Amino acid sequence: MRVILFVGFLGSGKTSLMLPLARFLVERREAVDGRMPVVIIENEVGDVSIDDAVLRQEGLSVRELFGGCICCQLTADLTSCINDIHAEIDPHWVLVEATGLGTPQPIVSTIDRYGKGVERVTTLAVIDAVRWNELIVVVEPLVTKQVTGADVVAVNKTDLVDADTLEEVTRGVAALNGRAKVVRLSAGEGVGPEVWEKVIGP
Amino acid sequence: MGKGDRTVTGHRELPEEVESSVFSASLALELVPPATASSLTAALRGWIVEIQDWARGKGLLVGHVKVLVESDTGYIRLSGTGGAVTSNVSESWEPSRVGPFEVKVAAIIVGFTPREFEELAGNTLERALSRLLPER
Repeated sequence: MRVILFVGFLGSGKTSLMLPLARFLVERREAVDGRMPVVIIENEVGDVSIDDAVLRQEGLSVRELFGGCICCQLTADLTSCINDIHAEIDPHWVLVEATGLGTPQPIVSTIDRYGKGVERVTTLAVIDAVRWNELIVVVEPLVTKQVTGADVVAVNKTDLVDADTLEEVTRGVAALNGRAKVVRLSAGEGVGPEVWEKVIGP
Repeated sequence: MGKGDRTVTGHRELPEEVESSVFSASLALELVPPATASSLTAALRGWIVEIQDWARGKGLLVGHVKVLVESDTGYIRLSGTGGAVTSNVSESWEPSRVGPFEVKVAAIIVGFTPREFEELAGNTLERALSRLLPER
């Protein structure tokens, strides 16, 4: 199983991007070997889940982890969930959506250490281009951890900012994490397969 | 108001100088007479706007405010992060009358104490949904 971990501040568009990526992976792997292509793990800090219902409406297989964050409070639950998925389904891909307040490093560490059947974890940080300048000031330590812990950074909502702002955001991301691949996209306008190929890598 | 539950929690991972409050609630409702989809959407949109305006007035950061209404005929989703409220309605949704439905809400505000936020979010949600009922 390969794991793609979605992190990014609240409202950045994680669920909106996870949905088309899941569709892309389903179509890409369809009928290859009979294994289920994608299972999603949805984490909500509150006790009520909204995003998992949306994903299920699209016919996707979703596991829920409520009432805390998998980066600090639900690490054992995350381990159990991944290991159950491996034992029961063993899909090609597991997409994990962290809460908007989660940081990637502890999650990746948990999966690397305890996750069974995991070949590789790719961390995708989703950035809200509209709110970047505000968030990098107000919740700077959190956003910094999310960006610096990412393998790929998706600068989202590019349709809602002008070219200068987009350049500024991209520079800011690169200054924090020069080794990450950076893709610019808009979940609202649709994401092409070439972008998803870049995100998931070889 | 209906059966359901609501919670407010904090988060361990945020830096110490930043507080966050999470309000979530799930309510199973059936309005008599039934509301229309547009009036229900307007009421819940109003709730999101009220939370956002209140946060802005206090100089607080809106993490997100999300609403999902589910019924036998589909769903309505609403969300906001401090600015415009976006909405999606499933194609199968019946617009003229909403039968029994479940409404789930989640709101996260950064920079506030949980108790005051819980009271505000809960009270304003109850008021928003009560406006759908006929006056006595």
